[in-house]
Amino acid sequence: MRRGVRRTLRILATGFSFVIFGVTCIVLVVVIFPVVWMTSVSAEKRRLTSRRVISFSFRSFSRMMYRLGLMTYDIRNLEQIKGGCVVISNHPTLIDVVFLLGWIENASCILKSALFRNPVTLGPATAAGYLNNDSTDLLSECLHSLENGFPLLVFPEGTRTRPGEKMSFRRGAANIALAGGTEILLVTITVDPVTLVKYQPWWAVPSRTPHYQIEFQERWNAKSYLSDDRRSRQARNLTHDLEQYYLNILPVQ
Amino acid sequence: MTYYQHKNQRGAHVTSQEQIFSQLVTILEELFEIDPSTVSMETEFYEDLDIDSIDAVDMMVRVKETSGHRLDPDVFKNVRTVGDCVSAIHALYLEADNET
Repeated sequence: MRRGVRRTLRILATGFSFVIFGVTCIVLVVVIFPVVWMTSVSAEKRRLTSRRVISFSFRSFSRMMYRLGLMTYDIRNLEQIKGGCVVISNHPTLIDVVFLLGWIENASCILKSALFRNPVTLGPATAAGYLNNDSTDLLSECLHSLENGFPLLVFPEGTRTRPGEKMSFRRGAANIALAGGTEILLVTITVDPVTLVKYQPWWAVPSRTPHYQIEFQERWNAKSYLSDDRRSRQARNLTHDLEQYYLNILPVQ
Repeated sequence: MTYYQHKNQRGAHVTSQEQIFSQLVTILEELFEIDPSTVSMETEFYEDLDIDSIDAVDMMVRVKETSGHRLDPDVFKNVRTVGDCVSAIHALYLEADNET
């Protein structure tokens, strides 16, 4: 009985969090970003300030979910974040990006095009200059962002991991790192018990509080892959090795 | 060196769909080590050949080098099969012929 009541409260708190997320996005677009817009000296500065605002909001959002008893989290090896590198991560749940953009302050991010059609996420995504995965010139946009020294977050799976299925990486992240000559920072996210996974409705909260573990694992230098003379093979080899790395340390959830 | 090309009524050179197809198969083999015998007009780039959008850009650069025709990236977005790509390139040849 007690358990049932607690679970109902957590469902309500989850719904509340979703509403807060939406309201925050609207407040950012209507109030905060216009101020950023008016006070920034350049487009570059404007994007950067917007990213910091989003980052701050995401950190606050994580803390709010923690205080509401919706999750606990542990973020490790933050010192690995430095300079323009390609940050990749597996993507088990809906809120992975909240942790990653929350704790990597200046990061840009490749988002799926649906988020640029969603009225709630469109505003922040545009203000921060996040990149649309549907863009014809995505690769050069990514390289441009890296040249400015900002980390670029990419989920190589392209979408949330399909529960119970083996992860499968697309080659975009590898191609970006190879073309930009930048390091790749490998991040793993695990959540136990699983929650907010693909195909699961938001109100299907688990029986106990989920624990998120976000670990900045290691930095890879992609240079050794450049010895192969064909770009297509370089990207395939690197993607294969990255995928194997993740498959080795992450159990299928 | 003699080489044969069809000419249409207006006397312009026409490159047939078959020729374009074989050019494309050669490019696929060169760039991605794809066995030519596995490629048909119905073969899908992404599903069957594991060609992603970045590979497609490389492929289009090679098409430009061999045929002199540049396929618009927006047109290429709607290309799914090898056959779609052949038709799109063929359309460029026809366009160029009409202009001459």
